[in-house]
Amino acid sequence: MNSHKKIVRQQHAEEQQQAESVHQVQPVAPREFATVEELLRHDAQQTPVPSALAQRLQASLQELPPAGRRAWWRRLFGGADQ
Amino acid sequence: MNGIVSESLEPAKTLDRPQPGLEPSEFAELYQEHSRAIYYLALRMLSDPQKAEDATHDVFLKAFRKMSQFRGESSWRTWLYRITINHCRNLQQAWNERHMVSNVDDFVFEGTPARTDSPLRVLETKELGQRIQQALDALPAEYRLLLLLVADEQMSYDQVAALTDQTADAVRGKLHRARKAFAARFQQTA
Repeated sequence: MNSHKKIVRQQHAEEQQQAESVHQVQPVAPREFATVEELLRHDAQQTPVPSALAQRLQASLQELPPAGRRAWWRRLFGGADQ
Repeated sequence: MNGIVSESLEPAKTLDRPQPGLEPSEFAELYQEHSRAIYYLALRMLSDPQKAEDATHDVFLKAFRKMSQFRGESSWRTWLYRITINHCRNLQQAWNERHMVSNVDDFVFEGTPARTDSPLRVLETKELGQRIQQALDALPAEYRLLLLLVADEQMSYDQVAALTDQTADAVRGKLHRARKAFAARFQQTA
């Protein structure tokens, strides 16, 4: 039983190794963009907003006077009002 | 904090019919819907991720403070873009004054020899963003801004024209030259 498990594990490791080597040599196909706008849209979609930004904004809004602050960000950021 | 910054450009809820005096509680949706577009515009205008992050932060803070002044005459996206453009221009102007750089708008592209009618072919690499930035940086500021704005599918030519203080026909004419100049520069970065 144990040896069977060992063989299965070994096979799995070999398959994984093979898959990785295939992945390494596989050429990356170039992607074509018909227009500049299409290229920029793709770039925008691949560009994430830094995760720290939301936290910074939250902190800055907490520093605002109460009238301007309110609790809108609670829905987004969670936590207490103050 | 998870899920604050949407990875998708798709809005959680489309606020396409702006009303004057948006409730502060809806500001969260505004952030989720537009933060990526604002950050991307700032990034490509300022060519610096840290400055773009700072600018995006300042833009949303400014927008929050001035929400009561929003009259609903334009879309939220247009309104936020206007704040972003002004903010980035101020930053660039301050930087230029400190460093006394020459005006790149004088650069002439009409004579640039390059094949620009073929599709833009690129490998999917992490360098793509760097290549795009290099190509954009080589353009006059006006061309760069026009390309970035029209690339946003939410923006019509009329909206771009209003944001850049010119007619839609002028935008179309300049875009033709801007695309050509970008394609030429982009191919040089390969």
